[in-house]
This record gives sequence, C-alpha cells and structure tokens, in this order.
Amino acid sequence: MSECRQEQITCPHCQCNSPMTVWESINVTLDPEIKDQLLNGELFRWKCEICGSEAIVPFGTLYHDMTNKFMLFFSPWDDENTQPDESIDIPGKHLCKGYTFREVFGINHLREKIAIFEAQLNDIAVERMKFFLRLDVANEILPNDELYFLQVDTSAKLIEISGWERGAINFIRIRDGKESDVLSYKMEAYYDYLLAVKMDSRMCENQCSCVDENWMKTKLQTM
Amino acid sequence: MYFYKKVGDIGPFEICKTDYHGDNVGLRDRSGRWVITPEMGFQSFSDYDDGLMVAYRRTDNGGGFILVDYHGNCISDVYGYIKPANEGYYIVDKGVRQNIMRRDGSLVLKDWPHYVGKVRDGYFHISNTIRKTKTTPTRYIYGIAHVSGIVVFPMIFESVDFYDDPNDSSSYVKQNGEPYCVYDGAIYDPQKRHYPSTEKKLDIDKYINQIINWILPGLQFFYRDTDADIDVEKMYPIGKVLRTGFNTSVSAKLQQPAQKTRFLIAAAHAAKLYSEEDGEVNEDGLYLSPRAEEWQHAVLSKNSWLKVLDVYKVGDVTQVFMIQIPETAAQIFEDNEVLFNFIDDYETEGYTLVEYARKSLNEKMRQLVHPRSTDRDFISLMWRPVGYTLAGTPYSIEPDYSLEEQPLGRWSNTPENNRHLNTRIHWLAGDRDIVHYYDEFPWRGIVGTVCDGCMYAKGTNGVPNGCGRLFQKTFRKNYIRGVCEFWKFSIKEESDFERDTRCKKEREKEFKAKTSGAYAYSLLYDFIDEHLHGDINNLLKFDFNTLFNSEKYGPIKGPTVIPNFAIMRSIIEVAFGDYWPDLNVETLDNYQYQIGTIINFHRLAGARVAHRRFMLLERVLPDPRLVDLAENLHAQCNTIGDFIVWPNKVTMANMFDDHKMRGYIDRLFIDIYDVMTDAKKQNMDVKAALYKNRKMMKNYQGKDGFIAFMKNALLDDFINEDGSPKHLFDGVSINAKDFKLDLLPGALRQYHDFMVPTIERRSQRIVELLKERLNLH
Repeated sequence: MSECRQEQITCPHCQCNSPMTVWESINVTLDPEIKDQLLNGELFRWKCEICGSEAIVPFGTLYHDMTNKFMLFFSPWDDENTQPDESIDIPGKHLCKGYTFREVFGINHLREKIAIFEAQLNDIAVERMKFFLRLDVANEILPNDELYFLQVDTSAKLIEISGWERGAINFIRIRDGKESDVLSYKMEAYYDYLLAVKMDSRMCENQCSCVDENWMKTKLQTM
Repeated sequence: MYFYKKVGDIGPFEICKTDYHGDNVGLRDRSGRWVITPEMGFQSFSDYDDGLMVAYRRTDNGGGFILVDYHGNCISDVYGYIKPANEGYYIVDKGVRQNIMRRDGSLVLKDWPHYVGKVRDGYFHISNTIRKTKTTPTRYIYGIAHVSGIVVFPMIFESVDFYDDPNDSSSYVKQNGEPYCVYDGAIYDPQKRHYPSTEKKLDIDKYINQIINWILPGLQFFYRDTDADIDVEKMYPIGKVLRTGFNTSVSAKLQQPAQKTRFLIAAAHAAKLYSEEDGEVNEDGLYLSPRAEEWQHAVLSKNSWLKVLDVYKVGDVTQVFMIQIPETAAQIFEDNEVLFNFIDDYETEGYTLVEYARKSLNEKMRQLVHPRSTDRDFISLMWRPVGYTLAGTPYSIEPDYSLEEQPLGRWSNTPENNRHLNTRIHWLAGDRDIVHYYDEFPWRGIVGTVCDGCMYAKGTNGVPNGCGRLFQKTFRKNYIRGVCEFWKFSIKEESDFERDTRCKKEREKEFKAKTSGAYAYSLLYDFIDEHLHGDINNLLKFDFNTLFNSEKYGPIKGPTVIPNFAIMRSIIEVAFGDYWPDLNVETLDNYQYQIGTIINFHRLAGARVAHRRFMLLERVLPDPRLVDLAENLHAQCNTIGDFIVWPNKVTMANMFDDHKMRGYIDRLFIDIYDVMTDAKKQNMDVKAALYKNRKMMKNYQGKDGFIAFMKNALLDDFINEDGSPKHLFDGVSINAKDFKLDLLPGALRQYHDFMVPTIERRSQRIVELLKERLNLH
C-alpha cells in the first residue's frame, strides 16, 4: 500500500507553516488515483492555508506497480550532478521475483518509464533504440532534443494504413522553441533492438540503476 | 637555397629531396615555396587528404608514422603504421593492435582490438584473435563499432561482413552458425524468430471437438515392450505429455510381455506398415519394413505427442498407458480439463480407457509370450524408452523439423532418405495437426507437410504468414499444393529453386558465350595451348578421338561422335561462321546446322574393324595394296579437312549416303547445282531439302550462289573452272546391283587419289583460315 507523511512547509510569502502530504511510496495498483496526481504534477502542488499562495514542492518517492511488476525510485531532480553513480541496493530484492527496479530522475523520465513498463516493453531495448535513432543523422534528432517513448500503437487503422503488421512504436520529440512532434517507427524495429539487447551481454541490468541515455552510452563504450 | 629534385607529388604539393639532408624529403607548393622543409626530418609523405597526410619520421627508437598537416605540424602520436580508413578516418597500428584515429589525432576506441576494418557510414568492424590452446584451434571473434567511440556490438560474432551495397552500412553477421543482419545498433534474424507471433488467442472450445475427433475415431492399442532401465515414476508421471522424439516402432499385437516394461499406446494415427486383415497388401509399409507383416509393425512418427494416462503394475511387469494427441493439444491444451476429462470418461465396451488398458494387461498376462517378443531384431527395435533421448532426457515438446532421425531398417542415414521416410510415415499415419483457420486459410502446422524438414520452417513461427524464405502468398500456395521448390535441408544444400536458377544462369551465360563467339574463340585458344602445344599447325595431324572423355573439348550434346565435340563445333564456327547466317556453337547444339563428313569409303572397302582390317575387302578382295589405300583414306577421316557444315532444317549432311548417290559427295554437289540452276532434271529430294533450308541458303542462289557455296566451304576441288560441279567418281558400290568385283580396285584407287590430297589441302586451308580468324600469324 502507499505510504505518506505530513510535512510542515513554511510559506515564502506569509512565513506561516502549512501541512503538505509527502508520499514515501505510491502503490498504483492499490491507489490508482495517486498515479494520475503524480503524473500531472498535482501531487507536488502545495497551497498555503493562510495566504493561499501556491508552490511546487518536489519530493522523491517509490513508484510501485504490482500488475506490471516494476518499482521506480523516483527523484524529481533531473540534474546530472544530483544523480548518484552507483545503483541502489534493494534489501529483499530476491523476494520480488520477476520485478524490474529502476532509478528515475525527472518527471518526464518517470512518465516515460511508466509508459514503457505498462506497454510490457524492455526499457533497455527502448533506450538502445533511442540512442541509435539519435546517432543516425537521417532521423534529424538534434543533440538538445529530448526524446521520450510515448506509446505502442497497434490500432487496426494504423496497421491498415501503414501495413505495419505489429503496429508502431511512437516517440515524442521535444525541441526548444518548437512544438513537440511524434516520431513513429515499425514495431519490428523495437524487436530488432530487443534481440540486440538479448545478444549483447553488456545490456544486462539486474541492479537498480538509472537506465537512460548516459547509462546506455557508458555501456556501449565498453568492449 | 637548396639544390633539390622532385621525387613525387602529393595533393597540391611536390615531394622534393635535397643533397644536404640524406633521406629526408620536404614539400614545395606550386609556387616553389617550401611548406615543409627537409630539416623537419620526414622521410616520406603519403595519403594526402584535405590538408592532412601520413608522414614517416625516423627516430632513435626506430621511427614511425605520424599524421601531419601541410605545415609539418604533427597531429597524431607516432604509430607503427597509419593508413586511410575512408570517410576521413585512419587505421593506426600499435604492435599487434589497431585503432581508428580521427583527423584531429584522437582515437576512437578506448581499448585496442587486434584488427579494425575500414569505416562505412561511421561504422567499422573490429576483431580479436583468440590464440589456440591444446584443445581449441585459433579463433577469430568479430564485433562492430562506430566512430563516435561506441562499440555497437562487442566481439560476439563468428563472422561479420558489410552488405555488398557500398552505400549500406548494415552488416551480415553469424553467431552459432546462424546468420543475422546488423543495422543501426539493432539486429535482425532473417528467420524472424525474435518477432512475437501475431496469432490471435485461440478459442479453446472451438478446438475441443476437432481434437476429440482427431484422438478417438480409429483408436487402437499398440504395444512396445522393453527391458531398458526406466524410472517409471519420474519419467512417466500420469498427465505428462511427451513427444516421441524418434520414429517409434510399435506392434499391433503382443501377448504376455517378455520384458519388464510395456508401453501401451492408444493411437488413431500410427503408420501401419503391416497389411490389414481384410485389406490389400501394404506395399508402402513392406517397402519401409520388410518384416512388417511378421511383427505387425507400426510406427509413430518422431513428431507424435503422447499423454500418460495410467501406470499399472502386474507382477514384475509395469504397463505405461499413453494416448496419442495432436500437436495443438500437446502445445496449447496440455492440461485442459474439459478435453482430458472427456478422454478419461470415454468408454468402450463399458470400460473407460484406463480400465480397458488395465484389463488388457490382466488378460495378456494369462496368455503365452508371443514368439516375436523374443525376436532379437524386434527387441532391439523396441528397446528405447518412448519420448526420451539416449542420454535419458525427455525430448522437447516443440516439433523437430530436422531430418536427423536414423531411418528404419537398412536405409542409409541421409537427409533424402529421411525425408522420404518422414513423408511416407506421415502419409500412412495421417497424423497432421488439427486445422486452424487464419483468414480462412486452413493451417495444420508444419509436421507432415511439405515444409517438414526444411531449414526455413522455423521462420513460420507457427503461423501461415510466410516462412524463413517465402512471403505469405507463395508460402500458402506451396503449402496447399504440397510442393515447394525452395525446400532445403541445410544452408549447404541446394534447393530445387536454387539449382534451377543456377542452371538457368549458367545456360544463359553459356548461350551468350556461344552465340557471341566468345565461347568458340576462347575454347580454341585454350585448345591450341593445351593440346597443340601452342602451334595451330598441329591441328592437321590431331586425332580428335583422344577427346572422347574430355569434358571441356569433348561431346557436349547429341551422340558421342566427333562432329558433336565442343572443339569441332568451335572450329566450324570460327572457320565458317561468316558464311552462314547465325552459325555458331549454339545453333550447332540446336541442330540448326549440322557438321557432316566428306569421305565415305564404306561402300568400297567396308567398315574398318581393326588396323588394316576392312570388312568388305577382307571378304571379297584381301589385296594388301587395296588395304593400303583404304588405310590412307581412313587416316583422312575425321581430320579437320573432312568436316563440312550443312544447314539442317532438313538433314543434308548424310544425304549422299543413299542408293542413288552411293556415298559419293560429288553426286550431291551435282544435284545441288542442278536445283540451283533450275536444270531440267532435278533430284526432288535435294530440291525439297534446299527449299526447307532456304532461309539459311538465302545467300546461295543460282549458279553464282553455288560457286560461292563451294568456295566458302573450301570445296574448290569439286568444281570446274566454270563453276559447275565435277563428276569425279564412277559410283561403284558393293551394295549396288551393278557391282562388279573387278571394278573395285580401280574405283577405290580413283576415290583415294582424289580424296586424300583434296582433304589434306582442305585441312591446310582451314588451318590458314583459323590462323587468320584467331590472329595467329
């Protein structure tokens, strides 16, 4: 079940203390409504009970999905300097058979990881795919573009139009000063990357690490 | 100011050397200005690329190669060797290891492999050598890297090659003997085994009836007794589903078991090799197993699935009772309660199947041991425990499409024999899976179909959407008709399609070569080198009979006679190709033209059966002088001058060997002349032949045409000065009614005296003609 505690936050305007619910862990299987609040940022929103001013108060939490068997140790600060180099050691991990553990930094990465695991995909294969999509200049993904997994589209309409029998894997590209756009690739491409991950022993991750672009780059630089 | 001399060019510069600086060289630009002076100590420059080049500089430590700019600034460290790697990168050597270097001198890889390949679109191959040990040979492992410094795939492959298309950076790789394609950091299995099936979830109830109707009708007990060590509890727990794994022989009739374990198999789809009592003789079964009748021999194919229903022990004998189920039941409904409750509750003669099986053993135990239960060959055939390997492990439930099963009886273990056996067993058993409909296509799996045993079968992934070789449409077409020209057992074998394609390509290539003259000229050049010691004059005495067994120069099509030899057809094409429309080896192969001979002495001397032995002369006039003449004539036969080419829409080559012309070719020329000049009296056979061959004879019409025909064929000796044909011989023939023995010596001498020198002269002229055509003067 989800666990929370109350914290007193001092209002930057009136200097009065007001309570805020800080969730230490969120079990989205048991408390699905909290998931929506987390993903739309509502959970981090704090309002001063005295003066009514509002502020965003980010906090780290454990995201637990029992249905899809994954746990995400979420930290809202998406800053390289705040990210630890070592993976988290999880006590009793052996009891959670079939679970995937990940560290996640930043809300966008959290959204992405949730989408990946809920779509029953392998996040390492998705990261590998993203890495090589960036590497191929033909895809026109700039170094500062943010690229996140969006969804797997297996709608009959798409399959009929595109002829992509297994549907499409969609990514969202966020570029400064431009509207976000969606990049679609054949789902078969994902399976090709998944096979690559299975064959490449460096792509194995049993610890609780932050599997992102940097992780992928580090792994790929080893021989 | 140096006194210098130019020793070479590189890019926009001249490499120059002076008298003052030993081996050192420098670079001067087009205006004569030194851009790199010899004092800088370089001994060579190479591989100029956009301002950078590889230079060699000797040092106290032995020297090495450096990347320098055109001011002589060293861009890189010193390496054992530097060579361009395409796309502005360089391969650098350090000891036995290599790396890729960028234009700024930085290295791409942190670790140095033993080998790096050239760069293609940013990607390059890397390799390491694993030295041999006492037990393993030297091995090479391959990987793929990128110029950004990442190792796309570590060295996990047995081989790696770029695609043939130079603009494609994808690679073919092999791992554990399986081919894959690597592209953009992903890897693709051509057999598509890594793609999840697109099959929709099965509606179980829909298949229950089909499965029951597969299992129960025609259900019959089969027996297999063995004394093999079997832990029944572990190996055959009730409910376990097994695949037989090998072609499992069973008997339709046994009595009391003579061995300690009896497999009682209830099967409706066993291949019965024996004849039914009221049926016809089972020829197919007897072909597979000659003792089928005696043993009541039946076979469950290696891809048969059995479910253990009961284990029952009477005395020392343990009976394992199993029932044959279809593939779908084994794969998907392994523990489906509805299905197996139905089977458990199925009653025959008031007993459930298990009760009936137990009753069977109880009754058998009261019977005598059947003699076949003690037959050594029979015991050996039945020895292996059902569903287990020789090592004692159960076979995988997944079907096995390989053809590695030892065939029955005396058959040798080859893929062809095994495929044939496989096909026959499935045909006799009728054990193909139940039908699954995919967009109305009736799919019954791979086992027992045309795809069984094919290396591409795994590519179906259990659905009829194509295989490892074919797309859906062709795959389904071949599946239904039961014939597939793409079937192949292994990558080393050739499928029918591949063989046909190869033969077609070879035929096209051959056709092109034969019609273009390339084949004839090339063969003739080779022939002169290989058989005439480089001198075409040796063709005059060459005995073509020595080429009977030559694949290259000998018979290529038609009966094994010299005119059908490749070399003879090539000679005719080269010598006479200009005088006949489309005369070449191909049209000779297709009998549009035919090569005939001029000499025909059989009607004067008879057949030559041995040296100096001519049948006719020996019989009627054994005069050694006549034999000499006949031998001389024989010596000219099959020399190059004896051969003549004829159009062959209607055969003309042997037209003169009939009762009218009596084997004398001069008579044929006279008749041809008569037809061409529209004489009053004409030989109608010759006229018809010339008419039929009119397209090829289009350049040979009228008297002038006849003269041209004779001259082009180098038959000038057969015509008079005015171009009319000579009447050369009296026409004596042993077969003729008017034959008189006293005329024979004169006739033979007459024939000899004309033919021998004429053929010799003609041979010489043909050789001269060939020299001219082949530029051998």
